Amino acid sequence: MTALVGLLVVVPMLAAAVGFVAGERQWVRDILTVGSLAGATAIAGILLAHVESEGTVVLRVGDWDPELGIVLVVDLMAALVLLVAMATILVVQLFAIGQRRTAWGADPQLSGPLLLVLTSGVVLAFLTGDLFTLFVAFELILVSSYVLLTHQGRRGQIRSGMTYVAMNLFASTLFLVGLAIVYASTGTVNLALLAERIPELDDPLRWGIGLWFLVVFGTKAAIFPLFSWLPDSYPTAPTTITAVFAGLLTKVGVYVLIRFHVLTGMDDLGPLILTLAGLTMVIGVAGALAQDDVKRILSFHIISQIGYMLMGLGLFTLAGIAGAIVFLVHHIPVKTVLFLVGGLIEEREGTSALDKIGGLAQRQPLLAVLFALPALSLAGIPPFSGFVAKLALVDAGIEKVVVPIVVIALANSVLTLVSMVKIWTGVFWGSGDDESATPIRILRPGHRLMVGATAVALIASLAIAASFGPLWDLGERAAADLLDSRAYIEAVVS
Amino acid sequence: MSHLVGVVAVLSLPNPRPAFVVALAAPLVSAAWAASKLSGGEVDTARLDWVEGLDLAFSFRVGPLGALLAVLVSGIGVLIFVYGHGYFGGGDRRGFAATLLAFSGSMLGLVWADDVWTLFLFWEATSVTSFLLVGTKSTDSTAVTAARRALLVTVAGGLVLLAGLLVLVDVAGTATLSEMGPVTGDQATVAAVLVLVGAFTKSAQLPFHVWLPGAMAAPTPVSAYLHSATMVKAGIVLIGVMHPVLGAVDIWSGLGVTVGLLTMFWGAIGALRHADAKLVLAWGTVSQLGLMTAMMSLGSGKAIFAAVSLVVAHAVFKAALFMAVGEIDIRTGSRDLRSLSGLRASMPVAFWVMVFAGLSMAGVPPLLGFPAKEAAIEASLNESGASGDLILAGVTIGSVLTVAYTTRLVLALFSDKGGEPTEVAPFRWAAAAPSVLLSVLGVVGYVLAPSVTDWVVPAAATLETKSAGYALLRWPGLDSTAFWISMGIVAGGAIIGAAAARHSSPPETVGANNVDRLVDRTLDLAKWITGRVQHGSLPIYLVVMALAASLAVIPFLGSIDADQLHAWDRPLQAGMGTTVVAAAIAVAVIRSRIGAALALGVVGLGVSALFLIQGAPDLALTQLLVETVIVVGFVIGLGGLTTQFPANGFVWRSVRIGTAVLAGAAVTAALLASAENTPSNREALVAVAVDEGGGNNLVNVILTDLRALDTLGEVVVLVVAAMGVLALSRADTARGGGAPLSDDVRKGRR
Repeated sequence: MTALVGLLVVVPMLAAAVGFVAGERQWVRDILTVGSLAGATAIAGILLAHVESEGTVVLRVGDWDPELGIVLVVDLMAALVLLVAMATILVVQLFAIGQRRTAWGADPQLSGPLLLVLTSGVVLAFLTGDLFTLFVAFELILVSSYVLLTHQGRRGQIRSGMTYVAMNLFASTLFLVGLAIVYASTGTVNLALLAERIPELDDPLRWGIGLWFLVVFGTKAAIFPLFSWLPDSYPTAPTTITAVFAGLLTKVGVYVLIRFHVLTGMDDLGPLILTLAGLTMVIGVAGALAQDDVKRILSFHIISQIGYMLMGLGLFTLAGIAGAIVFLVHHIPVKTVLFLVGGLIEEREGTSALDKIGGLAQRQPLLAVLFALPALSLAGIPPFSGFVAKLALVDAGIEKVVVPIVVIALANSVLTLVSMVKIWTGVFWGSGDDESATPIRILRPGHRLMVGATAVALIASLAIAASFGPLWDLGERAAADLLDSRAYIEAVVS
Repeated sequence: MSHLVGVVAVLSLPNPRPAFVVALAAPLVSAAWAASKLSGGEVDTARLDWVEGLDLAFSFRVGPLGALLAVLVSGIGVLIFVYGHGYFGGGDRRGFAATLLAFSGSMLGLVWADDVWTLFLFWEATSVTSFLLVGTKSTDSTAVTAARRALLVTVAGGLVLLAGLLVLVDVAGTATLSEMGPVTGDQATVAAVLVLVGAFTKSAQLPFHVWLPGAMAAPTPVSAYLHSATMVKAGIVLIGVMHPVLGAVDIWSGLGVTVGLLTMFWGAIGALRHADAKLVLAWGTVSQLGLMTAMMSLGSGKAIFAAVSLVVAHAVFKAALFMAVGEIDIRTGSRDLRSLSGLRASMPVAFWVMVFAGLSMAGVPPLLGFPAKEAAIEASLNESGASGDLILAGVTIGSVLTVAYTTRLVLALFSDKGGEPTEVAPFRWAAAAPSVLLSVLGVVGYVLAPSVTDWVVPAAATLETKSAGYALLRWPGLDSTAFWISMGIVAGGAIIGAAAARHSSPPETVGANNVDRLVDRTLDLAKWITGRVQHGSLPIYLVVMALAASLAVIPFLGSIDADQLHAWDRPLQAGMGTTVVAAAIAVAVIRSRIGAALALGVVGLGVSALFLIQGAPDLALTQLLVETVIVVGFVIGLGGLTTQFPANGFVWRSVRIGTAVLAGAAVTAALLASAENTPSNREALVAVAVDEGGGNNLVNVILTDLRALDTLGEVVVLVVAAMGVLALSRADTARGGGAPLSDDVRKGRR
């Protein structure tokens, strides 16, 4: 099993390296990207099954003692999120192959390999049991995503890329300082040892560390007031890139936020995190309401939804953490589908501005369905996955009697729905703007692959809804493992 | 289940023509099945666990009430599909028929649910399908606005209901309806209010009624089915289903009856004001729903019995009335009471349907509406005390107005206005037959009142056992007070109605725009907030981040141990430190870009000197190299930019200086606080480095062996960064010269 863990990190990197030098031979790159992503998905599946029955898998890189070297840890939470993430990237890559060489597609020579570098960064971030390696993982993700964002060299991309990279580099700097603080006060950067030592520190020092990393990871996760890089940069990128970003990047931030703060027992920060969660939800959805463009609306939704995951974390109860984890799992495919549909709309209509499109429900009923189902899911309407995830969180909130956040979470659902209705009435109803006279596009064969990939992602999301019973059990177990850090410590150290 | 198959079947039809015919098969099956359950007392249950950990399940229980409501939902559903076939005449209506069918299935799920979550699921499903159906004419902005309004009110109410159900499940200890016992207490009161508000939104009670008249923008089959006969009853059903659980809560009946009676009154006023026949019916529905809400939440045996009877009678006559108005609409192109003329002669079928169904609505024998209304009046008579008098007064006034608007509608619609009679399109069987059948059913229901009683009583008894002893009376007898009140109502109402029929005031909508205005306000507020938060200025974003980080440091201040601090280990450190600080200040102060870059180089050199003093020559060397490369890079990169930094205003400059100083102080404080406790693993590292790593240089061993993975990662980072630079420079030249792009970069930098 440990060999598989190693492969998961290294294979995407190697495939990326070959992809960079493959030159004009596009088929080599396609085989490499799809092959390695499919492989990663399969490995993630095997790991999940293994971890579920046998317990946490630990790989000591170079076989060094955890005091000195790096460990990769696959516990239940990691395996669960990993599987969803890998499958999502795979689907997006298929979509990208279909979309190749359009104005909205990314440069295929670069984007495939870069996506793989991004993948290895994401894998590393999920699996690492070491705070410094997490920093490296963030760097991998940041640099590959920045290049993906800007490599087409469009004006808006460069401009928003600047916001993106400047804020994230600043966060990286803060991360480095945080590493210094942690190492100086505990003598280690190993997460398991930190889980042991941080709770023993004096309260002020412990709170300081918790807050500092809340800022660092919070920037990555795009929580209020640190989210500003997201809505500026995401809508400008090519669809496939945005779809991966939307599904995954901020979620890596949330993931490590949950992992670090729960393992190191930062319960005292709960009220603060809940406050930030409420603000993130409201400000995010307000942003979505204010926009008039499909991609921009969807981008702001990401922020709003991050608020829900943060809410689960802020409760610091079993139900809350489990709710946050299943919300994460539900959110990744749903958000990705929505962005892919946004891409399909853009592909067909030549724009994603609401006032320039209309009447798509008549002309493209399939597209309407592909949009409607995940949109309802996002707004928390039953029987979709978003409803159960939201119910779990609200239930956890009621259990702990935190009324304000429960009220905000419910009211926020209505606002989410308003913005979804805005897209629906703007894009799928109405008659469209005839004066702009968008040319009827001749669809290339790749179009079928794009729609197919979107549909597969949607089906995956529906499957998550249908199998929410087992998923919830897994989420609860994963949360229990995190809350009781002894299991994690034992698995790594002994 | 048969409905799901039906939806798929309709959508996959190759030929759009028979969409409605295929669609009606599903409700036909379920209506027949439910009818067979009407007399047999057997209870059917089905359960499918969904998320056991959260107690989520699909659970159904079909008892007498479920069967009765299912007969209404599916039976009227069948007629609606027939009617729809006639109403639309032609065109591709597969999507419409499928959505209508999906609604029908959701409604069945709602009335059969035996689990609060199942109930909620279908509750929301009816809201969503209703949205799609109201917006059928999706190019018409009125319809779209109305659809949005209906969805928002009902879904917002749905979420209030969700909150109520969560609280309720917490108190009751189970999510299964049939296992819930009566609950009381503070938490139960909260749940009761939330559940009632949810019910009010769906059943269009004050002040949430505003969405229902607007929903008349839907095609008439939808209005007849969803917005009069079935969906709007969901709230009433919910109140009924919750009666055994929450009925004992003090506020339950008081709130329900008050809101119900006020709605009954206000709805009737609305029906008297409007000149559009469909809107009259819609406001009439609001009013009738008010009466049902009042009866259902009143909660006595007789009242619940009356409520269930009213649900049945109302579904039958209101669907007939809508269908008739819809038929007039499609055959004349108008629904205006003031302009339609001579219809009595030209549309006799519609006329008689309206008369019979209208009499039933007014509560006149020999129609089913009469015994139902009688039951309601008797239930009010049974209430004692001042509140009882108020309820009786409310029901009586509401009923008088009901008779009035019914009379006005029929008289005005079919009167001769003088001049040419309105032109009428040819008769369509499919559009007329269902309404005829329903109006005849009103009579049959009266004649067979004992049989109807046999269906209604067990259904009502599942909600309130005391309902078991009552019956629908064809002829209550001359010594019945209720009968005389009833006759008074009819007489009074007829006079008012006849008078009102001559004076048609211009139509105006009251309150309907409030929801839209609320939505617009929300959107404006959202724009305002977003403008404040997402202003697009990178420097301000960074200031916010730096402030957040500085705030995070506050706890550290508490754990700095002042005794441990000393200024330097060696005097050289002080000198180098001062140099670094001075150079850093210079970076900020110098206006020339190249000068700032050089000052930055000095900072780097100073730091590497500090490393050297500390005894880390390797590190110092690396730092030196990096700094050199950076300075060289700056010098090359600055070529395309102006030589000076742009000037800043005093305030903004102060903010930036302040933030920088604060951030610096924060980092210093954080490091000071953490520096004291250092159980370092250096000893272990040194031992391992030599023995196992095979190198005397600890840093090298860490980089290449202990933390080789990190090194690999950073190498990849560098490669990717290089690729990015390459790609950008290519994109730059490919787009015909770098000038505009550099402009852009300059703006971005600012």
